[in-house]
Amino acid sequence: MAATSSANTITLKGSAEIVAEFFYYGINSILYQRGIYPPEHFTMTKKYGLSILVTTDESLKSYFGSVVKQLEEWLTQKIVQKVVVVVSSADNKEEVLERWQFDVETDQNVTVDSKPKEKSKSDIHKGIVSVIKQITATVTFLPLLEVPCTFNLLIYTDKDLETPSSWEESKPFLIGNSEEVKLRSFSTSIHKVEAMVSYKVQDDD
Amino acid sequence: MVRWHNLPIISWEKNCACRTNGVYEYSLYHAPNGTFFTEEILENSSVSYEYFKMDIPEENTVVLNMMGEFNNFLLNKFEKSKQEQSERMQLGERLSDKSRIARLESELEGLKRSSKRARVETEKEQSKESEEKKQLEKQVEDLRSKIALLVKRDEKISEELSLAKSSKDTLRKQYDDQIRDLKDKKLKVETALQDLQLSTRSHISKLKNEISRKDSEQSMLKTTLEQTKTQLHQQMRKAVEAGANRRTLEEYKAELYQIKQTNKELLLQIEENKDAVSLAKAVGNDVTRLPQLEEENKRLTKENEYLRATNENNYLLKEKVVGLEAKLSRTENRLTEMARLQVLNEELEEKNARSEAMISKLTKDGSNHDSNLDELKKKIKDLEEKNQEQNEIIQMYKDQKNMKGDFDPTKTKVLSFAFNPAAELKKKKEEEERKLQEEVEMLRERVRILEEMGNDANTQEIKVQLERRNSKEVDDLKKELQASELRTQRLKEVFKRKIHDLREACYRLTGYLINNPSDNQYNLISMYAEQQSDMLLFRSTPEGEMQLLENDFSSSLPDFIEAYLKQQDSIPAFLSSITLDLFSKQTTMIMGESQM
Repeated sequence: MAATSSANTITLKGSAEIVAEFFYYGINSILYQRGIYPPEHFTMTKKYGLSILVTTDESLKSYFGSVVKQLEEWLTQKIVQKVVVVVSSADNKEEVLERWQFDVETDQNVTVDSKPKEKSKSDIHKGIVSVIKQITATVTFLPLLEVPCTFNLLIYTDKDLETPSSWEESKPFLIGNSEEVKLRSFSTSIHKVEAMVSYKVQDDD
Repeated sequence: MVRWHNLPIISWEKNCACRTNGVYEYSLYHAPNGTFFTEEILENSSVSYEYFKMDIPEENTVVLNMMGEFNNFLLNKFEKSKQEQSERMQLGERLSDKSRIARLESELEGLKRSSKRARVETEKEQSKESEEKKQLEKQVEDLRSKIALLVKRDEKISEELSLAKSSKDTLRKQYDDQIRDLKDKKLKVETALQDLQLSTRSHISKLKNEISRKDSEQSMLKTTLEQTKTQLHQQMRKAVEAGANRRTLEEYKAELYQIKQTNKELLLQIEENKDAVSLAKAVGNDVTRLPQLEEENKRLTKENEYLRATNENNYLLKEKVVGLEAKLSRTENRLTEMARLQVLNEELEEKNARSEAMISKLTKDGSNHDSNLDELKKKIKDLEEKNQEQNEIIQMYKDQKNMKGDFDPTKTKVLSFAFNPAAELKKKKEEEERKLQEEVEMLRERVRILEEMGNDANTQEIKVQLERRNSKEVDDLKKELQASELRTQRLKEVFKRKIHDLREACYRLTGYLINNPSDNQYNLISMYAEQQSDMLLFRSTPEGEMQLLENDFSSSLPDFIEAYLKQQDSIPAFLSSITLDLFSKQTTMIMGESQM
């Protein structure tokens, strides 16, 4: 009984967990698709009925462990506005080449104790699958990353949040001459995640 | 062997076990046919004694016969003890029989006594029962008589019942009649009710009509009231007029009075005139005045007519005044009512006036601005449209900016995990760069050492050197080097001076200027040389010897070379002789010159 009721309703905590998990798989997909890390650093795993490649690099795994945990906590606190994956060149120029932005909209009326909302897990998963599939498809139109690249994860939060000790305030790493493409979005009925990507326009010279 | 004991011991289970020497065990079992059998069980024997437990004796026997030999062996072995046991058992049985006989006798005695007692009791009971029987017979008699009575009563009751039935029938008839009557009545009442309802309905409709009529009347009355109010207004105006009329009337009255007075006077005058006329006639003197008088008369009659007319007019006016007075009284009544209304009206008017003033002011303002207003409205519309457009553009830009990742720093802050891959990479690169720099520095030092040490250099020594030359030492050495360079500079200067002094001294003392144009070569020019090219060239050999080199000058001195160098092997003597020779030549020349 409990299983069926939880399959069709969702709480704030459950939603935060689902969204944080999405970010783990989504960002891993970006890192693989964009070749930020060599393919041999990834392993195939089954999720949402898809085969998603996730990193096997130990330091990166521990990085994701810390970040995703913190992200889930902040999602529960309803203070996350955006999650951004900044792809920049690994050379001394440190030029920002791509920005994967995920706007997060949270239903502020929902609290941890409020009644679960009606929304089936399979519906949410459908939405997540469409976003991840689109991330894979972006390879067709995004410019090739010709130099070795690295990435950083930015989280836009409410101003009044006290910055935790292992976190620091960062500049937004904007791209001066960029083009933007809006991607699909999904919703858990508590959190709505809108994906988009902006990338540096190649100079003609 | 099995023997059947017909002992009167009753038990379902093995209830007696006689042990002899602890080897045999006799057990009594109750067989299904009501007899008992004993079984023998041999301890430590492999024979299963379940055979003995068989319910059917015949089968038992068969089994037992099969084991005959074995049992015979057993019997022989324990015959004696068995005989003794049977004797003992017989003795015991006898003793128990005796005691049982005694017990039975005593029981018999007890039974006899009890039978006697029973007999006496039965006799007593018999007598009691006969008495009871008599009593019951009596009761039966009583009951019979009671039954007869009851039968009689029953008859009576049935009669009463029939009577009651008949009376009931009559009553039913009566009730039926009554019911019919009541039904009729009910019908009547219902019809009446319907009539009544109808009538009430019509009445209600009538009342409704009346109400509507009344409403219309009321509205009519309201309109009439309005009318009367307007009339009242008119009347008030009229009243005001009437007041004015009254005043004029008073004036008229006063005039009338005056006119009457004058009329009287005139009448008197007429009388007088008449008298005068008669007198004149009588006198006839004043004929000349007659036409004058006639004229006057005419004028007066005219005046009189006018007065009469005015008098008539006056009457008319009087009537009018009466009418007006009546009207006035009515009007006055109304006026009192009006006063009240006026007070109200005044208040309202005051309010009205105030609002009107405001309205006029506003309209004034409004009219001033009306022209501007249209223009402004147009402008506002235009601006609104533009605003809308701008808003859309702004929204677009905002969206784009948002998509680019822009944010409102008053509401949002951007956080990143301190140990992120980009930062880690940067740190790593910086670390690497620093290491490379260090390595380059070290290699450079190494090269320097290699250069300094030349072929003698080996890795171990370089290492030692490198270790020795840590930065501080290098700095110290550099300082020292600088100091020593300075010192060298000073020394060089000193040496130069000293060399110069020495050469000067040499020149003065030996008469030769010694130059050193190249290593190991010395040019000597004598103080008394005839020309600058007369110089002696010497070269020092690695062995430290000086050799004279040939030149034009030296070849002009074969005697000196022969005498001093080849024979005496003395350069100083050679040089000195040349000095003397040149000196003498010079002095003789000087002397010759002075002599001439």
